Amino acid sequence: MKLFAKQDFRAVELKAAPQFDGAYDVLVAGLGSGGFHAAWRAAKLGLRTLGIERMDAFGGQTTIGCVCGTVENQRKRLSELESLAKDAGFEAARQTTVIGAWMEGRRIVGLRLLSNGEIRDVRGKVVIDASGDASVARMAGCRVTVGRESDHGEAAVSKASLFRLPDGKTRMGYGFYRDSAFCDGESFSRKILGYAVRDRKTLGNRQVVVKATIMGSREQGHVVCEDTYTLRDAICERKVDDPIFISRKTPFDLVRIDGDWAWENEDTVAWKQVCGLSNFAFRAAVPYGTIVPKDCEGLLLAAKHYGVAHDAGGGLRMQSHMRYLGLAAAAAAKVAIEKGCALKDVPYAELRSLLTDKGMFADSPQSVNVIYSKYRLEPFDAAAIAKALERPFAEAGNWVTFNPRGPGEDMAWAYFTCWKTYLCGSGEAKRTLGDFLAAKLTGPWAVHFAIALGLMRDGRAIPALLAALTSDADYDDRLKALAVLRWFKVPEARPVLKSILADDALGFTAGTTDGPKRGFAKDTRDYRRFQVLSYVVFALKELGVDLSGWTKRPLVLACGARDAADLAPMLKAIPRLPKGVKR
Amino acid sequence: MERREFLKGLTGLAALGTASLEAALAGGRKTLVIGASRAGCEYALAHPDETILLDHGILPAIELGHDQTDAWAEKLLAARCRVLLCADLESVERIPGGGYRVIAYGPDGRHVFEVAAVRDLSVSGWHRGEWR
Repeated sequence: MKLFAKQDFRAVELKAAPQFDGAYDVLVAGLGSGGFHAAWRAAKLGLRTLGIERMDAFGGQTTIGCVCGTVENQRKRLSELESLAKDAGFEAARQTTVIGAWMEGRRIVGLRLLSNGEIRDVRGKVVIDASGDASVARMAGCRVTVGRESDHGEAAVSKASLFRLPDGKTRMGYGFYRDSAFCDGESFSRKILGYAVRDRKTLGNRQVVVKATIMGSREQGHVVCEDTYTLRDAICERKVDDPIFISRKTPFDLVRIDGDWAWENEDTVAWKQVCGLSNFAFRAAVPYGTIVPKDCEGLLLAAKHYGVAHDAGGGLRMQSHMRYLGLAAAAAAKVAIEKGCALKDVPYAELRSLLTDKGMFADSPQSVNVIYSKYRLEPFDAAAIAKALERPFAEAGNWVTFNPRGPGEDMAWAYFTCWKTYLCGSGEAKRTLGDFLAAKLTGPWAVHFAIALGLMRDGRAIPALLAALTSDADYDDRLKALAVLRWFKVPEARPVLKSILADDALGFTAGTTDGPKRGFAKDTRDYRRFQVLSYVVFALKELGVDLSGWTKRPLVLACGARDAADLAPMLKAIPRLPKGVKR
Repeated sequence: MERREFLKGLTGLAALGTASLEAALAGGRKTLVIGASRAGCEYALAHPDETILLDHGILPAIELGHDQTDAWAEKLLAARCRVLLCADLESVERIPGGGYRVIAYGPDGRHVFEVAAVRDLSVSGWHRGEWR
């Protein structure tokens, strides 16, 4: 038996002999939303359970993280969880940190705990890692992917607080920060102090009642699991034989806060930038394999570091999802212990019967997988697509960044229909829709049909997309055309891309309404220039153009560079897209 | 990880390292202060070049109230104090000949370093003072 700790986010072996003073059926590391419900459910199922929590209280973000709306809600939730814990009768070790994992080969058999200088070893038949940052999984040697492919950028970090309004009511305030917690501990500590400084400015004179005592982080790595769920799985309505829960309305609300979509993968760019589905939600049937790590036996996951890809994890990380993960992990532990089988071999029928009574499958059959607000959109036919796209973008409403006004959602849905047809439609459906869109390329709304055809990766769109870049089309249309054009990697695009680069995107953004400071940028136009330049830089890099001599302010700022010379090596490091697109 | 770290000649995760704390302490840091209480913060502010301040939570001087902690965070940042938040102390062992060997766990994992002195200024007292 060997002891492994986490160091520099990796597992390191420590020389130590175990001194177990407790044996449990289930050990749950972290009693946030997922972990608490895992421990609660495991105890209700008759398993001897130890819950381990680094802080004093249960609930994580939903309580001491202040993501609870009001002070009253926070108190109520804390009280409810304490009552539930008492009722279930699970043992809770508070103010206790997991500092090591006991391993027998690939199997995790126990944990080393630390509480105010006291060390304790405990055994468990099943360990549930609900840490949120994959701490236990990392100790156990599991592979963990971090953030998006291009630069490992992760979803935003946040810090919430509850403050009192002049009317006496309390409200929640958020600070969102572009950093990832995936850095050395001292650097992260300095960032946390920096957030406090920004909080002072943001909250101003408002009376702070409670500040979060833990950081919020939407993404802290994803463990490589028996199964991985992606945004494309959701879009293509992947048939899942072993769902542990069905998310009926998953908001794809937050990946990064910079609007740096050019760094994201193709699907995220298509969803956010090109289709403009920011205010839409997707439906997801999450498979059991996403909570079973591939590299370790005896371990389950019940927090946001489970087996979802970066793009799907932008939405599948909410409180309800974590609760479902916890319930599912507890049920799986119960079945595995009773059957004496490996966690990956848990019979789904028996797992399902334990899950069903918790209302996790109350979903009615659905034919659509993207939902706007309260409405489920039906698939568009060609006529509906044409109707939606034959109007100015401005008239449809800028739903990309604001709530939709008027028929904006129709335009988004038309684009989405074309994209989805490309991703998972039949050959015949692609040909029919492609021909229909191509026939519209000479009309007055050619730019919209070119974008739609581009979403279908149909090379007939290229001339119209290129023409759009230097046309008087709306800025948003031109930006979409630019985003789509990148996928084709056409040498003919070089001159126009270089010309945009040459004037620092000033011409491309001319005529757009300027606004206040936005994110890292000094004003809205600076922010737009960053968006344009980042797409151009990626497109040119993929065409093999040397950009080492080019340095412009918006991109310099966004990359965190100090000056032009500092940016050059960063530009060299921008990777190419992982796969090409056939023309 | 910030984009900057990645783009600056990153080679995946190898670009990361948590050696900075150990390296800094090897360069002459002398005192570990346990607890970012008001007393702990004041000590660190008075000796910013000499101190590493370690705390279990994320809110400095929280015993003074939630509305004051941001101001203390600002002071620590302005004074360039070295701080390890969200951290837990496993052990403090006296080294023959002077000083202490410290094992602590931050969000990134395990740290082992040596200091000349330890000040326990935590509100509740670490390990009931038994490390002495």
